[in-house]
Amino acid sequence: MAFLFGLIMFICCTPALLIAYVQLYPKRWTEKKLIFGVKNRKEYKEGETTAEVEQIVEKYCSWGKRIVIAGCVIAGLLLLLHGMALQTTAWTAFFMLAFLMINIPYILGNREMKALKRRLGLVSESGVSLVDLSNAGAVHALKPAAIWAPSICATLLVAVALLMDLHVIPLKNGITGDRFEMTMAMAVFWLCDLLFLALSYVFDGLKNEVISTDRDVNANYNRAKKKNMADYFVVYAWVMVAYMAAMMVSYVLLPSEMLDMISVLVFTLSVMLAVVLFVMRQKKIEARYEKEMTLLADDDDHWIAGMFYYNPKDKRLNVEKRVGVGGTVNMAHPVGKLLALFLAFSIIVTVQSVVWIGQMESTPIRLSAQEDRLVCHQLKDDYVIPFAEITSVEWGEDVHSLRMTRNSGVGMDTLLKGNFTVDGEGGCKVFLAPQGKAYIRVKTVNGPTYYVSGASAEETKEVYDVLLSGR
Amino acid sequence: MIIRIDELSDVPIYQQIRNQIVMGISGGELAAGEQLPTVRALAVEMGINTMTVSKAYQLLKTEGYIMTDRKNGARVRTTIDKQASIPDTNKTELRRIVSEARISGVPKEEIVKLVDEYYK
Repeated sequence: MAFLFGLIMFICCTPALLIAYVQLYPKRWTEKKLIFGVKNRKEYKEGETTAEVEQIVEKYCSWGKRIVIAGCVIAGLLLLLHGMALQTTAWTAFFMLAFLMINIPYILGNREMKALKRRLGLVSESGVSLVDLSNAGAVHALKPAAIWAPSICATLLVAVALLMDLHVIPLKNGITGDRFEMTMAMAVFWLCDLLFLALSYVFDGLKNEVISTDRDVNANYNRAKKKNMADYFVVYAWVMVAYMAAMMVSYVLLPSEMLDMISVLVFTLSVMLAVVLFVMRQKKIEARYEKEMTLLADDDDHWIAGMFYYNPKDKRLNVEKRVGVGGTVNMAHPVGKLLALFLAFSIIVTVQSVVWIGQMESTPIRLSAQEDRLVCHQLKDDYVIPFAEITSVEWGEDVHSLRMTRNSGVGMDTLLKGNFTVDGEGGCKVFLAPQGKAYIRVKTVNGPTYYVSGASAEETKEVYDVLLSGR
Repeated sequence: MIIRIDELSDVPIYQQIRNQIVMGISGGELAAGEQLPTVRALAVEMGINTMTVSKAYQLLKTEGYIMTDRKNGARVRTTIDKQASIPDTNKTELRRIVSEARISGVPKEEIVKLVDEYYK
């Protein structure tokens, strides 16, 4: 199972890393409209400056290439890791680090290009924007029927799942029931689908880029880009509907973790394939219009590090990305500031979670009887049970024979900790290392029932003996 | 027709829009009866407030360059009032430009050549 999870992450991370490399680092810089997020000007292609730009591009492209190769090798090695929790921690850390690293040469390249631009005395047309009057608000490619159809299907699937969970639609097999598991799982994808529906309209309404004085060239270029984007949203929405349908079949007919994982694998592969096709089509469009790009506004100064848009005078929230495909937000916009704060907060929480999970994974649990109390310790005293409150203790041979459902807390292969429902009894406190198998069931006066163990069966037995004799 | 907006210019944005649409009509880039984008669409494209675009359109309508109605939006007038005279404010502006050119040594022929080019 852990290997399948690793494979899914590998399929997600390595192509994403390669796509990021292709997008960020220009191969034939003379033909590109941007070099590390700085507008490509004719002055860069004249005299000694050409060699200088060449040197900057070569240097940072080579760095980028090395980072991609190292990333792919490390991703391959991560597949060898054992344990789901370890895989999750390692992949999350890898994902964040890899995408930070791949951007560093780009940011440095952007800095050097801006320095070169200053040295050459070139000034950005800060505050200048171009608008093609004939195409303003008139270029769209999104077909409402195409994007609404998968959303309607997704809504119907959620409705059916809800009816099944409410037992309005009776089922002979399957694991649907009172906890609305299927509805909740489907609702997550349904909400993603609704988000994509909204985003598809946002991207279809983005400002049209002015690349030429010819209105038809501008219209065709922007329509081609918007069509590519719209097609991607439609394909992605249908992939999600297909996955939701597979999930429902799995819940109703063949409840199996392996089948779930295979569905996720197919879903991930399909999404990545859609992303690759989308990027390839985008590159094809850019290549087709390269020679017709005679008019481009130079707003380099509004792009921090060539990737974050900050323009207080621009009232728009959504703008097209400087590099890559899709859109980004204007960080000077009040909503943009909030989104940037939320993003920073999410990154901090994710980093903290990775560190926390890593600590949980690597710190063994300790069960000890100290003077007049039983102490369950890992990083801190999780539970302290005074002997006086214990009414009975029972020895259990196999943790795996317990039917446990986590309500809150940690549920790793190597650690179960928190509030669980055990064999139908709700509100139980669990502190177990499942690999040790043995456990102690501790009942307390008016309190919860505890299921505890040490890191090994020997440690658990030792404490059990103390509890029996000394209490 | 490409409109170029300079946020850092001393000329207000609504005036820049107005001026460039007038130049577009004069130069033939905007044909008589041609549909103009809606106020909202143009504001979104330019990243400016809808009120600014609305003010520019209002000015163009008052001056008789465009006509607007609820059903069809804004269009370039098919027949623009030909007064055959330059307003005083424009005369003053033209005088300032010619004076500055003269002081900086631009020959008269150069100015006439430019006028010829713009008048075509």
